[in-house]
Amino acid sequence: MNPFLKKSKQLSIFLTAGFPFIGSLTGQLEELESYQIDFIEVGIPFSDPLADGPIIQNTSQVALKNGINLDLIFKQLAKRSTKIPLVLMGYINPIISFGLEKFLKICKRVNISAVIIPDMSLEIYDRFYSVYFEKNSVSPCFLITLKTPKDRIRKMCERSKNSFVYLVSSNATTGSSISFSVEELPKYNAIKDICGETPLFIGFGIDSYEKVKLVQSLADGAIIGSAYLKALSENKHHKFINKLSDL
Amino acid sequence: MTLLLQDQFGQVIEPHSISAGLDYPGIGPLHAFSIDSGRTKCIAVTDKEALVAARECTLSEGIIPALESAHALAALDKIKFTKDDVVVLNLSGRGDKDIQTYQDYLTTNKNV
Repeated sequence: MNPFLKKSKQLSIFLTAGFPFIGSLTGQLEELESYQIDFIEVGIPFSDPLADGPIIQNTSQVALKNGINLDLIFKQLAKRSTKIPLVLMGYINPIISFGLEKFLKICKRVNISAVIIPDMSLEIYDRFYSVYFEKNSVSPCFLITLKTPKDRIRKMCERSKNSFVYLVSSNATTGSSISFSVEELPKYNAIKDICGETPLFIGFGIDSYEKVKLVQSLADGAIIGSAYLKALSENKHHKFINKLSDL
Repeated sequence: MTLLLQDQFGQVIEPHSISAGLDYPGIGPLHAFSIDSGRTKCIAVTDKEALVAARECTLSEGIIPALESAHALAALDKIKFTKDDVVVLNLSGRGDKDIQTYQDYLTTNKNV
């Protein structure tokens, strides 16, 4: 049963583990669950986060300075009391360094619903890693853009039957504010059709209530990262989430 | 993927090199593969060794090497050659761009 499959439109929040404090993760998860967020994406900080814009880069730097690492993140996640699905998002180098097999084993143990590795291509996954993901029943989740070929999206859906497809709304990094043009809307619909039963979520640059609503009309839900972390940095996140959960 | 300067957690370490072209934490995947497969032997060279080698090359050959290439020159001292060895050294760039660095070094280290 796919934990990301729901009848209602969904909202997900991305946060950086170890930000703003080394031990802030579990409290944040509880808080977000209490606001009826559908699932949470937990970012594993990396020194060279190539898909991330300045806000998430900055939170990663702070978290690393705080001394966060994968061992600690897993310890914190094992102690959580929340029930909503969790997605782990991290770059490949710290995961290889930790040991991919060990990483996936612990993901299974602490009940991680999906893993996103932005710098792991579909080809590399198929050739080297799929066997370990399957052995530990951990679902991969791949990033696509509006320009990703149909066949490729279909292949990704096949591998993500128990997770979802992550549509990156712009060709830039996270946090770049995007505008949806009317001409592009049919492209979103076409991608939704290709995904079929596999849930489709849209993220990157979703920074307003209007964009969340628009994105929810195009796909199964929206993922907010930078805008939430910016509010968190300014201690305005309660207000931010409150308004969103009214949608 | 490739070889990187990294800590035990796989976080990339900020590098240092006197040569701008080498002040980067990674190397090309082709080099990494060649080292991994045993076809290339890698030798580390310090800033000072590169500067000394650059000076020697300039004085003896009249060629001012780029700081990057100066590292290759410095490696010559670290390899044992036999009489019949054919040595090819890739002097990949000129040192005009590094004159300021050479000048700063030579004026503060007159006895090199």
